[in-house]
Amino acid sequence: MEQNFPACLGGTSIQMDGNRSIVMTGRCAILLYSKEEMRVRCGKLIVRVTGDGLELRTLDEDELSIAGLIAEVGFLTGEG
Amino acid sequence: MVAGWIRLAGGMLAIRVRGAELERFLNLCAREHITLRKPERTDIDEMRAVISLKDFYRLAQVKKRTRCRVHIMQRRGFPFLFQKLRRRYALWAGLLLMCFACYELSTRIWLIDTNFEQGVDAYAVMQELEQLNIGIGTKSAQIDAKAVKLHMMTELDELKYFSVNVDGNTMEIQAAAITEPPENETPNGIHDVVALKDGIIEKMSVHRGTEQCSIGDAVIQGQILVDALVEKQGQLDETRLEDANADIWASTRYYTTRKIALEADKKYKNGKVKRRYAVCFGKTRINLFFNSSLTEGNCDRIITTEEIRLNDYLVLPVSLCCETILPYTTKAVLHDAEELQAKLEYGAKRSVEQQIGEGNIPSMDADLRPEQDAAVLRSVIWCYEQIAERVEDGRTEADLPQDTEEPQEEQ
Repeated sequence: MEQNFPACLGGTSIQMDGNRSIVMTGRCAILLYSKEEMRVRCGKLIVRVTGDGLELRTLDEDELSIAGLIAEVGFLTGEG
Repeated sequence: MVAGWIRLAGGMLAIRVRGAELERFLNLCAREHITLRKPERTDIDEMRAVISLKDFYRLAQVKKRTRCRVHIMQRRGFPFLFQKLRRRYALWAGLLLMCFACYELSTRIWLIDTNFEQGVDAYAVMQELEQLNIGIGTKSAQIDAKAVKLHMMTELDELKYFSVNVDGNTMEIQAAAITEPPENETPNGIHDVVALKDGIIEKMSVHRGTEQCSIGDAVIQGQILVDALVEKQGQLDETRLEDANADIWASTRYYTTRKIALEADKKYKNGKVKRRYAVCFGKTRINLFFNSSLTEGNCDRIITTEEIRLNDYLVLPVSLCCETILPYTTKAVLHDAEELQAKLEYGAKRSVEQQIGEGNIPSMDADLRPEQDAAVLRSVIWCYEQIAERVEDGRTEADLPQDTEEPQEEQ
C-alpha cells in the first residue's frame, strides 16, 4: 500500500541543519539511544540517524532534536 | 545566562539514571512534561542529565514504571544553599543587619556639595547649617529645604540667593551674595601705589596712574611708585585723579640670623614598636585594644587615619586609626657647626618665604660661625618679589590745579 510521505510520519516534520543537527517536530518517541545510532518513531515510520557523538539536545512532547556528526538518515517501515 | 540564574533560583540537580529501559524513561519524561537538560548516554544502561528540583519530585512515578534507578550526583541552586545555611543564625543576623545598615545609610546625607559665589561667607553658612542640625549623617527626610532657605535668608544679611537641593545622599547648596562695587571703583577710592619694601625695580606693569620711577631705580619703603594724579596730555585732555594700579617687581634683600645649640639630645630607638588600632564611626571611637595608658617612659606616638572612600567625593564616616608607638631614649650629642648648616639655611629660607607674599628666592649669602656653644648663621637672602602696595590718596577733585583760560588777543 502506497502512502504519501508526511502521512507516514504522522504529521511530523523533519528539519536538518547540514550534517550537524536534525530537529523533528511533532509526536516522536525514542526507540534507540546511543552515541552512534538513534532511532525515533514518528507515526508509522522509524527514523534512523547514525553518526558519531550523537546527543539529544531537546526532548519534549512536541520536539526532538539530535546534534552531532550525522552520517546517515534513514527511514524504516514496520517490516524493518 | 539570565535563564540559567532563574533556573538556579529554583534549584537544579545533576542525576544519573540506571536501568534497562532508558529510552522508555526518556519518552515518559517527554510525555509528562519533565524537562531533562543536557542528557548524555554514558553507558548502555546508564545516562546522565540535569533536572530542575520541581521536575525531580515528579520523576518518582516515571522511574517506578520504567524500573530505573535515579541517583543524585550534584545539587545546585538557592534551595540547597538555603538548606545548607539554614542553621547559621549569625550569618542571617549579619545579612539582616547589613540590609538594615544599607537602608539606613541610604536615607542619610553623606555629601554636601557647595557652590558659593564670591562674597558668600562659607564658614557662616556652614555654621548656620550646623545650628539647624544639618550636616554629614543627617537624615534626608528631616531636611526641609524651604525652612532652611528661610532661615538662611533671615540670618545672613549678605545673601541674596540661597537654595538647598537634596538628591539621594547628596545635598547641594547654592548661595550668592549681594555684590558691592569693588573698593577701588568707588568715587572716593583714589589710591597711589607705594613701595612696600626697599628694593631695586626690575619689572613694571602700570595699569592706571603716572609712573614715578623706572626699571633699575632703587626705591625705599613708602616711596610713591605710581601717582594717582594724571597730567593733561593735550588741548582736549584735562588733569585728573585716577585710582592708580600697578604690578611692580623688585629685587629685595633680607637679613636673618638663626642660631642652634651645638649640644642636643638625640633619640635612640629602644624596645618593641607597638601598633594599636581603633575604628572611628563619625565622632565615636572604638578602641580595638585594652589598656590605653603609656607607661614605658619616652615614646613617639604616630597616629595615621585611613578613610573609606567610595570615590573622590564620597567618604564614608568610618575610618581606621592606627597608633604606632615608638619607645626611645635620649642621649646628649655634640654637633659640628657644619652639620647644622643645611638645617639653618633651610630655616632661614623658610622664615623669609613666610614674609614675602608673591615672589621667590633666587640666591642667598650665608656666614656660619660657632658662638658660645651654638652655631650661628647670618645670611643675606635676595628675593624677587612684588612690592606694590596701594594706599589711599587724600586728594580730591578740589585739590587739582585749576586751568586758567588765556584771554584771546584782539586783532
